[in-house]
Amino acid sequence: MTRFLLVMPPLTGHVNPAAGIAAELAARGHEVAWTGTESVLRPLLGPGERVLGTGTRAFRAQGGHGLAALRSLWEGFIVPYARFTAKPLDAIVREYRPDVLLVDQHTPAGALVAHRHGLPWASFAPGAMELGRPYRALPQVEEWMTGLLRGLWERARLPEREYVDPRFSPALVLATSGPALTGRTDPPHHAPVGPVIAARPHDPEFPWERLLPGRRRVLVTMGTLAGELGADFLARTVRALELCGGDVQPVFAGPRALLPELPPHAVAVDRAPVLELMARGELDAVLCHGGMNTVGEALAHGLPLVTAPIRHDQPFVAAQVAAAGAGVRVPFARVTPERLADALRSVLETTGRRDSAVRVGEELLAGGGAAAAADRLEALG
Amino acid sequence: MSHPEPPSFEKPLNPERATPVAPELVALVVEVAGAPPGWARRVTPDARLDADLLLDETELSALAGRLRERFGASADLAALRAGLDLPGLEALTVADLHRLLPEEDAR
Repeated sequence: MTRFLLVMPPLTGHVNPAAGIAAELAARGHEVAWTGTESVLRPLLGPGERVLGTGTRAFRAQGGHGLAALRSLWEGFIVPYARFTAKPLDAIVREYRPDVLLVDQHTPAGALVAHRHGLPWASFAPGAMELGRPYRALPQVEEWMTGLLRGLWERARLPEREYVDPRFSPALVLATSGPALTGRTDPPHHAPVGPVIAARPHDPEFPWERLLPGRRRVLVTMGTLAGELGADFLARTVRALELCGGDVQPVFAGPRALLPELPPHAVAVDRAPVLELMARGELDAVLCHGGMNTVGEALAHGLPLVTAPIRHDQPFVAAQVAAAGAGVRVPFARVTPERLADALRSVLETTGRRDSAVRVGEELLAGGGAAAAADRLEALG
Repeated sequence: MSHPEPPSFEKPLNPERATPVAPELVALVVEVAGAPPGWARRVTPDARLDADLLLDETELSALAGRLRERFGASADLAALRAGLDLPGLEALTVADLHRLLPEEDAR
């Protein structure tokens, strides 16, 4: 039995795939605890998981676009969150005495504390943000990120000569993507395990009876949309789906306040049982922002995508999906209803992208998911 | 550096200050942006590529390729961006693109 500590940020898209790995480790008889913001982790994980809280403090909402979003992510979240959690994490590691840490790339404090205590640690990359160095064409941006990380290292009073990039464990980097999307061969200590898909219970709250037989269905799930641009995009989406014809039934998952008036056959819910909808074969395509989890889940179920990326790693993931032939990328801020309808038709009415989605999904699943991740983590113990 | 909320995509930016940009450059920007033709009126000299035109990294990479194809190796947006820090990248405008064009194309 090995004792694992999962250091995760208070971000749903990071916690959910890690939960699949945690469940696999627990099923193998290991002891697993989480550490982070308990007020966020607990509702996502349920009452059964052990959560060692690092305290709660509000951090800047993740918003904006492009470089402003990148700056906000680092200066408004990654660095201040690492500073805020550094001391509590140290105390938690002293008390819990883990054998191995799994540290999300957005929580570098976990890597620092592991290094201080001489504990083996793995990095967790649930997105494409750092993998493949998306900003390698902008060396000064990479230097800025490295400078911020070195600042955290220095603040932790760790020896400068021992500096290790806290996003990349030299022992193991677990990623939920795979070569079918990234198009590259990873070094041996990288484990691209593909999507981590954990069984979810049936959702009786979803209006299953409203899914009309004989229709092609598009799930629209855009993550945390907000503001004028978010509402404007959804209005264009509703129009685009109307242009696709009455035999296409949209299922919107997201805040209803941003949605315009919908046609009677459309379904709208605040939260959709996405995996259950996919597993039951209720969907024909997915329109999303290009977040790695949704993309991985859709491809794992052979569903082609239309992506409208907004920020962070989404443009990179969207480009990978398009390059793999499994989807079409549209510009979130600029796509017209007509162009969006064309994109949706191209994934609904032709087989090429669906075939590619099936192939890419199979290749991603071959990464082994939670079982492969657990194998690699066990080897560190 | 603070950034205003991106304005709605229908509205032109500072139309009264708009000065001509080489039409071919505007066409290339519209093309890589996957934008409707009317969006071209936003491609003014002072429009920032990131915060105003909302071009992301993959679109800027595509734009760099198209500029080199059309205007030659000296129209090297990739090299220009590679030499900039984050504030410099945030401040990059259509006028900066225009300055990359060979003199005969910049009119």
